[in-house]
Amino acid sequence: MNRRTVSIIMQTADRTRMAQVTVPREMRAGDLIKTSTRRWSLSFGVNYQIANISTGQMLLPDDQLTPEKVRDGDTLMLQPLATHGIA
Amino acid sequence: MTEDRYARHYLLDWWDQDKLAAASVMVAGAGAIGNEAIKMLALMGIGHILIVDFDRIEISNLSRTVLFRETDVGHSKAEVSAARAQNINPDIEVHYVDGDLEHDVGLGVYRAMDIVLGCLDSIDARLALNRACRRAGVPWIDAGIEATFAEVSFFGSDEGACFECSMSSQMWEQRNQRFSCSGLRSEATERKFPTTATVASIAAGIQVHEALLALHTVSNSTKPGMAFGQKLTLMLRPYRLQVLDMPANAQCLAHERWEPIEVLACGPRELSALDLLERAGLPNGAVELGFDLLTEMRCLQCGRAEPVLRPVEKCPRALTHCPECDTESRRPETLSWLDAASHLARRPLADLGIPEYQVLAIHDGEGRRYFQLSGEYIF
Repeated sequence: MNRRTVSIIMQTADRTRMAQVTVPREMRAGDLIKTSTRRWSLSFGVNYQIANISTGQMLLPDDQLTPEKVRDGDTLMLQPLATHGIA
Repeated sequence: MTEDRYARHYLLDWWDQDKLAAASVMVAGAGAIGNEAIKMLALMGIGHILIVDFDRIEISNLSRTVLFRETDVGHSKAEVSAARAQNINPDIEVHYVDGDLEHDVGLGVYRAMDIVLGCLDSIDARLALNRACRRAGVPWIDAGIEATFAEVSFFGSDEGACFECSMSSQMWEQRNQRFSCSGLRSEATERKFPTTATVASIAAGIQVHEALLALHTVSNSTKPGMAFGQKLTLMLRPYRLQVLDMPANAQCLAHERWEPIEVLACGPRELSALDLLERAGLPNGAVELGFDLLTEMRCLQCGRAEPVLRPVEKCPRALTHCPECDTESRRPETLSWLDAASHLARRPLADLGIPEYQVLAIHDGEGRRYFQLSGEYIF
């Protein structure tokens, strides 16, 4: 096991997109959001957030994928940040 | 036992109708989520409801707003929703502010609330509400929706994560796009997002349920349901509900409780900054306005200046146009604090955009003290 990388399952909240990926531990959650939204061509103008649904913790954009926050095999969910109260 | 409108509530062993009758709840935003929240609060007999919204009712609102009718189009959302809530339940008091939650609602109003419900449609408004609640020491519950997704977040008065903790650089960029380099508001076209009454109703239902639990509970540690710093997310396609912990950001600038606060008997119409400094016994201090005040627009070409007294972020970018030169050459002059020597120090604070019940900070080089102004309107 490479201690400098972590293998995770990334998926969108609507489960239309899912991937098993290995990424560097020093990668930040914000970078993971940017990469995922670009590669998966997700909606422009929507803000996303990442939740580690294996631990029930949200990740802050500046959080690195350290062993305390993300373990090998964890599922990280990319979900929209709902900021509308639309009328 | 006689039957009254709350008879079914009394069957719940944890329910305390008297507690709800004594409660004060602010609903910030009377849109799709706000309509549903206001309706439920009124039905359940929350004794004091304050509705804040600056917007006007549009025809396209009517598919998701239970309190509005076609004849209401063009009228104030806050005023109409307050009237309808009062009609739903004449036993309660419903007040409204037809204005902006940041610039038209003093911090003293927030301090009088037991809880605040954020039913807003932008990051900007959430940031403002978050800072106000944190300063006032009032918990707030945020609800937001997308087409088939809803989330409800519970933010504590002075513990746990706050809304600003999880702001990403992308969100700050998006927020800042609404303002030009000079701080004036850009006239960006508002994007329209798909949504329905169902998702708004679900989000508001969870939000109000959490408010009910909080109003019945003495402390966060014994509250059932969500804890401070938790977020409930609900995906409707496919169904998935989860409660997540939001980590607090130790560097977050919004974690600032304003206390102690000294309450004054005068309002912003009677007091100037100079009066306030004298009453505070801080003649060498400076009164912080809490925002950038646009004092004038001055043309770099012809030198002509036009006085303006408004918060800079409420001013459109079109103000850079000089009618004399017909060019975009005007630049804003702003200030964010006043001392005794300031040319506006003798103007009533109301003229400078300070609302009733506002709390103003005075710093004198050694520290800050906080003073709450009085007001006339009832909330």
